[in-house]
Amino acid sequence: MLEVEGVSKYFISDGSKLEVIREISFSLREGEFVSIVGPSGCGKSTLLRMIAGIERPSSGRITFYGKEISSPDPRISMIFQSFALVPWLKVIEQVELPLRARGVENAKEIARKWLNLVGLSEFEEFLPKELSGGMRQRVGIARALAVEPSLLLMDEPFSSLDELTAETLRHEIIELWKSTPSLKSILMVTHNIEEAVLMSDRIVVLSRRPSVVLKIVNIDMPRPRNRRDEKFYDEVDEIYSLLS
Amino acid sequence: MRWMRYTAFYLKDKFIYRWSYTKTGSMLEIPVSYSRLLGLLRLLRDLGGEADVAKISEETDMHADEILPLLAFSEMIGLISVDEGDAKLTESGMNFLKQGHMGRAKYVRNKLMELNVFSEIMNELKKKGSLEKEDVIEIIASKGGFCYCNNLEEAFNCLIHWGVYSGLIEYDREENLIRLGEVNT
Repeated sequence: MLEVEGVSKYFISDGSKLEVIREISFSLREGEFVSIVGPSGCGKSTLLRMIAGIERPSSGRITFYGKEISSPDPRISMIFQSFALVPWLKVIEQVELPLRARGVENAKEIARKWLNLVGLSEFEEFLPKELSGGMRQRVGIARALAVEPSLLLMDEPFSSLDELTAETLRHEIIELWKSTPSLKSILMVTHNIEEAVLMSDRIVVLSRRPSVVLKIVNIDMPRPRNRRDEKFYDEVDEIYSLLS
Repeated sequence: MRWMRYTAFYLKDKFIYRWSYTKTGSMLEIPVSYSRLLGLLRLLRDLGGEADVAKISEETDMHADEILPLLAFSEMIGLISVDEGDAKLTESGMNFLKQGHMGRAKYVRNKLMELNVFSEIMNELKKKGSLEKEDVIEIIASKGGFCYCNNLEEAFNCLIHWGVYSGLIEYDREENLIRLGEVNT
């Protein structure tokens, strides 16, 4: 469904060209969960923003169902590390927002359905400041999925949460993906290797800047996965070996 | 990042004040949230059903002041048992993990109603229709706190979190009023 073909990205900094990403290629098929890992500053989030249509590649092309991405595609949704909630909107309004922007008539009804699915049905009148970090990201998840995307992009979605909250949401994202037929695939950027092994079918391992693909690692383990399994440790170890 | 937070209340003719730490500035953080509770139960399940508290601390990178209230609350509502530093998942805890959000909310609702602090708040709500935040804080203080929180503001937030989550109460933030939830009306 998604093809990243020879994508490079340069930025101009103090009059000189800063190469962040060099000729990266990988694909994402329907039904897959793929993670992108790499050192800090290697351009993981930049790559995700290009797939979201927020930025353009300097060279190469990204296609979604055969069509080149040049602007945000309504079939692609995103979840952010910082939750990106509007401070003055109630929980229900946060989820309604993208639906209303698309002219969906029964926005409130759909928003309620998704709040119910993420366990926040009783909190629809609350403001973001009245929610814990985990609840805020649940709102972010509901808002991203309410528009029924085919592809969900996640940019370090659990990194600002404590470990117990993060682990709960990792499992719930997998459960929501498996129970939502319209959501075909998920692409996640993370610096957390264990998180990537816990959730992904394949992991794209990037090098330091300018980043290239070091290897695409297949994670052939049934879900739900247990971090204490020997095979889990072996996969984590392999990726650390590639990065070090 | 950790911030110092100062909280003060005027309660029963005297001020109660305290400095405490909060990790995230303006974000509401409570020691015992729904996501943390589920995370703890999953962790115990993955560790074979039981673990000592030191192991839980190591696995979660959480300190005792964060873990102990979580363990105590989980035990109070029957999801785990804690004995001499070992936490063990109960059968109710295993079943809780298998249920959906609605089933879990129902379980929590029934367990909360067995607590003195909640039963008194519910009785008062049935009599008066609504309570002000200060009324609820007084009830919490008279019952010795809630969720093993460090201060009454945190205890109030925790009680509102679980009360609203379970459907027992509603909180009108604009009027600062607590009312009966839909399951009671």
